[in-house]
Amino acid sequence: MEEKIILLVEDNPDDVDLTIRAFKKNNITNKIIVAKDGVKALDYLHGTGMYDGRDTKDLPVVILLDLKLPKIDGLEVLRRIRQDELTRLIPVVILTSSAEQKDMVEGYKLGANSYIRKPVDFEQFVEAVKILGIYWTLWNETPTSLNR
Amino acid sequence: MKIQRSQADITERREIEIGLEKTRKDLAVVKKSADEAREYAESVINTVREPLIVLDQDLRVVSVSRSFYEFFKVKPEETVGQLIYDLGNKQWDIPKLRELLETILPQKTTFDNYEVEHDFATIGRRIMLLNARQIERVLGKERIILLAIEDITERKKLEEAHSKLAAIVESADDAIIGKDLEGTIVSWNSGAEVVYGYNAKEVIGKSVSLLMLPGHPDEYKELLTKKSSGEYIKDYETQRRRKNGQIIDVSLTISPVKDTSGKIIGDSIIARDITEKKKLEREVVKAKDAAEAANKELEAFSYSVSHDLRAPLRSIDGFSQALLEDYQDTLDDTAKSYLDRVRKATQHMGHLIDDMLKLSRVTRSAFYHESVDLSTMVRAIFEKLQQNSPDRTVDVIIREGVFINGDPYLLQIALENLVNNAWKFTSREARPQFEFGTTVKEGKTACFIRDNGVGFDMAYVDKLFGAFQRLHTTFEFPGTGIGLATIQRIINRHGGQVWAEAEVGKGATFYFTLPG
Repeated sequence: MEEKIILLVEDNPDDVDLTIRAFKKNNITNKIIVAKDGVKALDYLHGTGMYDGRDTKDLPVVILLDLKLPKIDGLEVLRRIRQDELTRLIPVVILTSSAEQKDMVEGYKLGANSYIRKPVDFEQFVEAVKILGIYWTLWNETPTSLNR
Repeated sequence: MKIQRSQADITERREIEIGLEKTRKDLAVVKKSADEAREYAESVINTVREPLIVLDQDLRVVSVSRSFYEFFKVKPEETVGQLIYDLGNKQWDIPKLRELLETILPQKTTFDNYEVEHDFATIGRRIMLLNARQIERVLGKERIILLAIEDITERKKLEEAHSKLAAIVESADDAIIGKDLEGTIVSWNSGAEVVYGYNAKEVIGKSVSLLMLPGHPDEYKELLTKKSSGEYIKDYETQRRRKNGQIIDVSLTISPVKDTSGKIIGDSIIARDITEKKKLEREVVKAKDAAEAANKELEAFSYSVSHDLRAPLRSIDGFSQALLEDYQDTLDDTAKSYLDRVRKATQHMGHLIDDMLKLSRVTRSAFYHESVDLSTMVRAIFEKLQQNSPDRTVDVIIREGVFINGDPYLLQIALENLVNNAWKFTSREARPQFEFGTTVKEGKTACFIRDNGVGFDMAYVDKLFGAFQRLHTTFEFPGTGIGLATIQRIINRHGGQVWAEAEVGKGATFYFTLPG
């Protein structure tokens, strides 16, 4: 069985470390690819730039997407993912600090599968990561996973 | 001799006869011409439209014109031979008429345009203009008086109406200008003098283009060709130039002026100086733009507060927790308690940021109006709290069917805050009791939420609704001090009021009114 990859799009190194830590604490051992901006995330998915030559059929099982990103912001990354035939079916979970209504509405409009606001309390964050990790990597079925 | 005499007699007699005949003929001629003269005079009298009356020297009526009978509704038999004052049941006993006939006329023999106003029983109040002639008839030395009467009642009324209108035009604050079809100014009131700075003498006879802005000399022509003839232009806003060169904003109403045959001979232009109004409007727009810009800035600020300020808090909390977990063997208890404090403070700051954002959101969010079921809302909030604290046993009384018109999103936040407050401040009660209901306060229906918690001292009630104000320490009861400020803003946005009554140790009741 191929490894189920989680793509974490996050520019804040603290948040990257804490998210990875939370996954580990929950014994979620999937390979986590970290993209530090929107361009790198799209490069990974399309096998371009620093990911030139990557097998693009090898899609992540879920994308955890921050909204406030350098270069191309999260909502724009989401728009492009949904426009591309290859990537449009990948589950995208928005994982952000923002609780702005307009971000939430815009995110769902663009086809986000879930919207989670990162809590300040780390224990709550660990709990949230546990639930979403188990749900998206273990329970959720997607056409992409069925193809395997 | 006798024959001679006879002959002489005959001749003389013949001469007498011839003379007599001539005299007779002459008399006939005279009589004829006298008759002709009388007929002539009478037909003149009867042809004149104005009532005419002829009096003898004793002021008795000799004759009157036909129009006199018609006008004054009197009959010939009660007129001719009567003293003028006795006419129509003594209706003509008019002091001013007596003065004319008895005092003025004997001295002047002719008097024109003598105005008399009198209330006649038959024809009502009339204003008359009298022309009188006293004619001396040499033969028999008899005087007659001719009195021509002109009824000017209607003309007077028109004149009065006209002068009233003229006074209105003259006293109006608006410029009222008349112009002919060629665009030449024909009238100019004092309002126009104030608005435009020119006096009437300076502009009458000149073209209205004098008032136009440079580059727009034909604005009236363009305006008037746009409308079909005979139509009004109402409240058309444009600009004009005053005598001193100052540009002013004006609102124009232009209406066609017609002659008696209905032909359009020009336009009347009413111009109101709206420079001040326009200035205010521009200021309002400017203020609105500024408010919108400030609001946008606030939004951007709130956005970065929610995003950027929370991110480092997560790091502080997350890595403190990591230290506690990964180094629990090497950290002593003091170090661990410090890290606990760091985490508590971090989390409290997280709540502060969240509540601050909520507070700003209730002020700037869009406002919707719909019917909201407060009873159901309150019950759902209590149920959620009960689920989160299953070990608490509480009594909740909720009045059913309390509907209100308002914004459901904002009311949800307000009620959550109120109920959470009650829940929090009853946490030390053995048997917490809550009631949601309505009551009448000062003639208005007020909703209330009552609890039997710790209450508060009414001496500090003024501080209750201020942002970041707290009546309890965070040690006693956790909180940020923003909840009640948020409630107040929400109720205020609905145009309602919120207040509280409490006693230390006996609970608190929060009331709010929501008009509509």
